[in-house]
Amino acid sequence: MADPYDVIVIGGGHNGLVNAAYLARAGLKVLVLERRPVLGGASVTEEIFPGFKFTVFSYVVSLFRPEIMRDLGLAAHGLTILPLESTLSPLPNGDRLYRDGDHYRSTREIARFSRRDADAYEDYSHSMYFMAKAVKYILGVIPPDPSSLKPGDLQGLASLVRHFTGLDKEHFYTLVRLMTMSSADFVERWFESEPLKGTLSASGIIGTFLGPRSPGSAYVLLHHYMGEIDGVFRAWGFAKGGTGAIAEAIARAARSLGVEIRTDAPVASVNIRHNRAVGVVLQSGEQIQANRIVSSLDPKQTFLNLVDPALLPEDLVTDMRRFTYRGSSGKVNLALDSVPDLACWPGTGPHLRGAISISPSIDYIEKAYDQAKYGDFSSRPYIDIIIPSMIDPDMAPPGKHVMSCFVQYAPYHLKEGTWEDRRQAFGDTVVDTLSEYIPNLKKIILHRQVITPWDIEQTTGLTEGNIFQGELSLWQLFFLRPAAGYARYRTPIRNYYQCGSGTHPGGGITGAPGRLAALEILRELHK
Amino acid sequence: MNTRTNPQVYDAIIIGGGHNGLVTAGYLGKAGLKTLVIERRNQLGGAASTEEVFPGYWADTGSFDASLFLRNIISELSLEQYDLKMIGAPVLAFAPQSDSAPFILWRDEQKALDEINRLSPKDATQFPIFAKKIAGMVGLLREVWTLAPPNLPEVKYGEIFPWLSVARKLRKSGRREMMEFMRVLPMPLADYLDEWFESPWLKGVLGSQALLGSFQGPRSPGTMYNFLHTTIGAQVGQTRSCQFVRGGMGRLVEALASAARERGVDIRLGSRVEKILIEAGQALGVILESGEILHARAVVSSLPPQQSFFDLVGVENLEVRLVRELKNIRYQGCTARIILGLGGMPHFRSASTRGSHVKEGTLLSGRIVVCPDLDYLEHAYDQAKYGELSSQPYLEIVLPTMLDASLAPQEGI
Repeated sequence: MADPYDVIVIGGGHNGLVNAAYLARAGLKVLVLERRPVLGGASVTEEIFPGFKFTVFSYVVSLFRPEIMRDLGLAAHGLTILPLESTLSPLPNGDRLYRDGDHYRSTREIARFSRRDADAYEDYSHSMYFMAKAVKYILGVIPPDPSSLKPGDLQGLASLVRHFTGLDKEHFYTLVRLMTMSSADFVERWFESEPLKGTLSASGIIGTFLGPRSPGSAYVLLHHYMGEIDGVFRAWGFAKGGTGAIAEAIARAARSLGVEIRTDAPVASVNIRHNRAVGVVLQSGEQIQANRIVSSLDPKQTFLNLVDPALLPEDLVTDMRRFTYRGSSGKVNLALDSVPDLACWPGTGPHLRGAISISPSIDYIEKAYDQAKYGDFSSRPYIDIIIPSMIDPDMAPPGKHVMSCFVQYAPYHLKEGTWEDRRQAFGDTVVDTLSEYIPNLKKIILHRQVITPWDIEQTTGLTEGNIFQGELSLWQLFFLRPAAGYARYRTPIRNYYQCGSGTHPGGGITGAPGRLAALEILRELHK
Repeated sequence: MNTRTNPQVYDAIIIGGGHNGLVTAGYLGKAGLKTLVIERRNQLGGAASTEEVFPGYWADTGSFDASLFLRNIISELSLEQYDLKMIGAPVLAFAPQSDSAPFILWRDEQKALDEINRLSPKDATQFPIFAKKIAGMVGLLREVWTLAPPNLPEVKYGEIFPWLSVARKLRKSGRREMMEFMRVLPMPLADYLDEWFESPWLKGVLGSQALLGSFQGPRSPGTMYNFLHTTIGAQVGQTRSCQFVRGGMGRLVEALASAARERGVDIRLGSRVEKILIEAGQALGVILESGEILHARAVVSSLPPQQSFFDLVGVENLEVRLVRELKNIRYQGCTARIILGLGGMPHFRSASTRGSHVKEGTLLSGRIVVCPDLDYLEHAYDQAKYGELSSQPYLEIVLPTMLDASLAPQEGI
């Protein structure tokens, strides 16, 4: 029998792969086990229809940590991130709000709606830039346990307090507000015109079961402002080859560091002897031994499915049972015969290489949320669109296009019917909504892929289809993610760790949980 | 303006004779400071007063439940000496349901559990554990209520020192409880109640009290704080309180006024403060609408921030940033009140089905709550979000005459 592995990482999503690469870089012998035939988890690119490549579940990247890019040399392993330079908000009356990297032009465009908003825009951008920078610090910190008196935890708490009390008064108060307010209230402190308020506040609801008027959504807004690409702060980008290319680049980097990766290898359970993880059992019955096991799956899988909950402390099991997922978003991927023609901007143009956001007003999004609260998908949803083939021509056959539509709200728990029955009705709703802004859309659709939260769960294993492995709500963040006392990537079982988005700092294609977990494991090994 | 200066210099002038203004006056008077309270109306109490709305019918025109009034103020100002008496209703909540018997939350623990058991035996098992957890968290919050907030982030040792004892109590409550407190505070109350209970009626009764007066729905994050806030007056083992003041809320204010006067506080009714007299960034007194000027070493405003700063101090005396902050304070009133003088006892359709062994008057002595479930409340909020009246609003009804017959003519209610 071959040497047992030092570490087995369960799950070949971006966090699992980042974790494995960092561990291998320190000289450990690592095996990654992925259930599906493709790597990437929710960060995959698949050729669903011949010639058309879809970024099936995810679509943009910006939150990916630049230190991981550097440490793992991902650029050398083929990862190229192409900037998404603009955001277009088409309006129902045929007008539009278009913002891009040219600050002067964006300000002039905003002034068409409100002079006052144009004046406030620069101030707002500066303020958010500063806030995101201040909070970004937390993304790189292993959460201290505020209830512990261990020197390490106390030190961690003290440096957190120092960091935030070091801010000047104005920024400190803005930060407290951002942590607690609703994104609508927050943007209304600055702006008055609906298209701008709608589009800005929409960043506060992505992936959550909150509306723009729900307190706490301002934090999610900030979370989305923390993107950084090539040192350019607050930028969104598209990975050449789709989000799957990110996973592939990390996998190449990991393999070059000696990581072994097996696909089609679903893990059934973790082997535990004397409260110590010693290996895994695959669904095929095969047993593989290792000194350490890291799960990149979500907290429910990690604590309630892979191990017997009876082996865990009762408090933790309670916490895990009440951890909320409530997937709230779906995706519609379209293969198009030609360029979509927008009513507000006919023909081609730079706007097709940026994001297109169907978010005409705060009330539009809030009403979409109202329907979801009572278990129905929104009849007029918030939709965030990109056209990957406009940015990266390899994504579709020449002259044809792929269009990725992120749709919210699509609640996992439907009041009536099942997602299998209602999937196509949901797809129709999205296409109907889009057609109000893109009149030629129905004529140019060649193929349509509709992904509901139920489909996300079926395919990727993400509980209730939550793309963040658990809601990003204040009571499930930082030292409470996934549970009080277990936010430092450990579990009550020795040598069993967690490294998915269900841990700090949460979801998005950041790689951060994977990296922080690896650093914590290496610290324990004194490597 | 015809200005006259009153030669007397007060130690403190308090603007507004509502309950907070009077409490401040009571404490300052107790400490021997020469204090004056100035009230605009011809009646004290602000939003805590009892008025003869119709001949012979006395009603609380603002707040009607005194359960949040801090107990230590009652003892420190010896309010009981001034004829202040609280009446606790035997029924905390009476929740009529459209087509079945009402749900009743009794003050008596055993009766409460029996009734909850009727809805769900599981909930009845959970309820005492839940009530204990809530009491623990409320205990921590009560500590917070008795302290002035420190000025973050520029912390001064003197300001932070009293908070250390709260931190110690938080830690002493146990690691699990401490983390739980931090987890629960930002939660939506619907999520938290769902973790505990299955009966929609019970959740409706528990959840509705918390949202009274706030522009939020039960699914809005942060409403667990409102829940704990409104539970502060409850005894251990209970999740809500219901305390009326005998003779109406106005009696509480009268007791506060008597306590203040006995400690040398002057109270002036029917005088409106026009401006605060400010020189070189320092308050020197107040200017009344009549033109009279009163001098004081300290001026205290009990009015809402907007009035305290914009009307009384004036924008010209404020920093630009503070002005922006003040303009951004949300008020958003979202409640209304209807006062009815009745010629007899109201009969709830479903109340009679509860058998005749309990007097109807007893059942209706506490809060009568129209909120069958949390979705009902959320729907009512949905409409308000877009500027409409709730077509099926949350109603909270009290019949103060059930426990205090002096408030209405003999034949009336």
